[in-house]
Amino acid sequence: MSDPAETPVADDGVLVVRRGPGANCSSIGSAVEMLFLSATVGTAILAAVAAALDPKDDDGEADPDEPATLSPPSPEAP
Amino acid sequence: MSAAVTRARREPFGAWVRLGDDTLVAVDRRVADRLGLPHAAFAPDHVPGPLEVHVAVTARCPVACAGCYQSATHDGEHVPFTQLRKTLHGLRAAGVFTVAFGGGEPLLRDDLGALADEARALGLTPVVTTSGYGLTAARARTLGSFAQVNVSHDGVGGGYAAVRGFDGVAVAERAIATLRAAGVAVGVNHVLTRQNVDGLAATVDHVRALGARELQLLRYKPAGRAASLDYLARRLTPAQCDALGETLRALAPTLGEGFSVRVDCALVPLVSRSLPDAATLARFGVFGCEAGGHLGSVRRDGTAGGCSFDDAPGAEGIAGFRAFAAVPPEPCASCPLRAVCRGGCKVVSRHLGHGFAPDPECPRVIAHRAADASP
Repeated sequence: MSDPAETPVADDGVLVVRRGPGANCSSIGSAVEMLFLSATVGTAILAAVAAALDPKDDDGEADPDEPATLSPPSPEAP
Repeated sequence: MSAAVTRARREPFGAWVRLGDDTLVAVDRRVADRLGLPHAAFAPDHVPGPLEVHVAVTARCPVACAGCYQSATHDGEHVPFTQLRKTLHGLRAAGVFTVAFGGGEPLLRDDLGALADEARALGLTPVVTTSGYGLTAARARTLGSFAQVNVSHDGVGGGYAAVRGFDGVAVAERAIATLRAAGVAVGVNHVLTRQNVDGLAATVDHVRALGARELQLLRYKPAGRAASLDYLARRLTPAQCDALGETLRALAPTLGEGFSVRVDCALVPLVSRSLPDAATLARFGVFGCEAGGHLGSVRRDGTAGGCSFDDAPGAEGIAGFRAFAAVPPEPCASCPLRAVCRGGCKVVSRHLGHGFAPDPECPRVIAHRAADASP
């Protein structure tokens, strides 16, 4: 995968979406359904992730003072 | 609605974050700020740490597969728990997200569940691969901290025995059932060789019916005991490589909810002719050879490597992987998939005498060399 810094910036701020933990001890893996993703499904996935990261109240209105939930609190920055 | 972010790491571009469902997301600075992630300073030559690290926990294995990439044996040594605990703390400090335990046979360690608990307590996502030998219902109940346990199963119709030199299908399938009964998420590791690749579709149906949620396809790699002449008789043929991409493309829409097929880093170049553009692949987190980049390994002696198949001395190997990715030779240099594929599997290229070079089994590399050789 390329450096996310080289990925074109999207309006929603989501640069890369990668599914699953890569549950193998010998090689890092990529989901086949992501390899052959249709444009429609890809757009829907990006939109869903962007929405999940968007701090909005239950009524759907954004609250600029409320950060997205961090649970548990974010660990250290490197 | 807000997502539960379970782990995050600031980067110069913004941040990597992991969501509660294990989805990994790279976000820009604006989103990172909105998530409330603490700021970090980065040097101009900052090299990102790995997101996933493979940790060898033992050299012991009761089955000793013919192609074991770690050359595990019946009397191999376990890595001391104290050493592994120190490793886990180091990985946490480095901002690693996923730790994948391997061996040898990790189940031979009585403290495997405790290792997973330790990783979880540090905010890491632990996963593990096993043959299933040694698994009991009681042991399975100690593995609840693992995000997923992958069981090795190389296929139906004799595929398993053809790859590993013995038939462990019954053990693998009993392990899958036992883990499922204990509520542990199960995946299957499936090494592709010329002997079993034709049964791939049947294997997909079979492991899905067994209750696995994922089939991880692995390229057969010439490391450990597999680094021999026998590799040439095991690797996929060029015709099989050519067909694999379209086979996977046909499979993808049939998988349905709750089941996934993954390709490993080394298979990316082999299916490259069937892939979409690099930008799409990058956006959806497709990993080619990330050795020394987003992927790392910790060997049994505690030293770091670029990947678990890499036997070069730590810094030398990691530097070699990074140098290749930064300035690859042709045909990788002008390949449209370069940024994602990163030159294919260097373990293969080194075994076949090419050193850190473009993957000699990549169809694009083969075509390039054929063109160069033609008068």
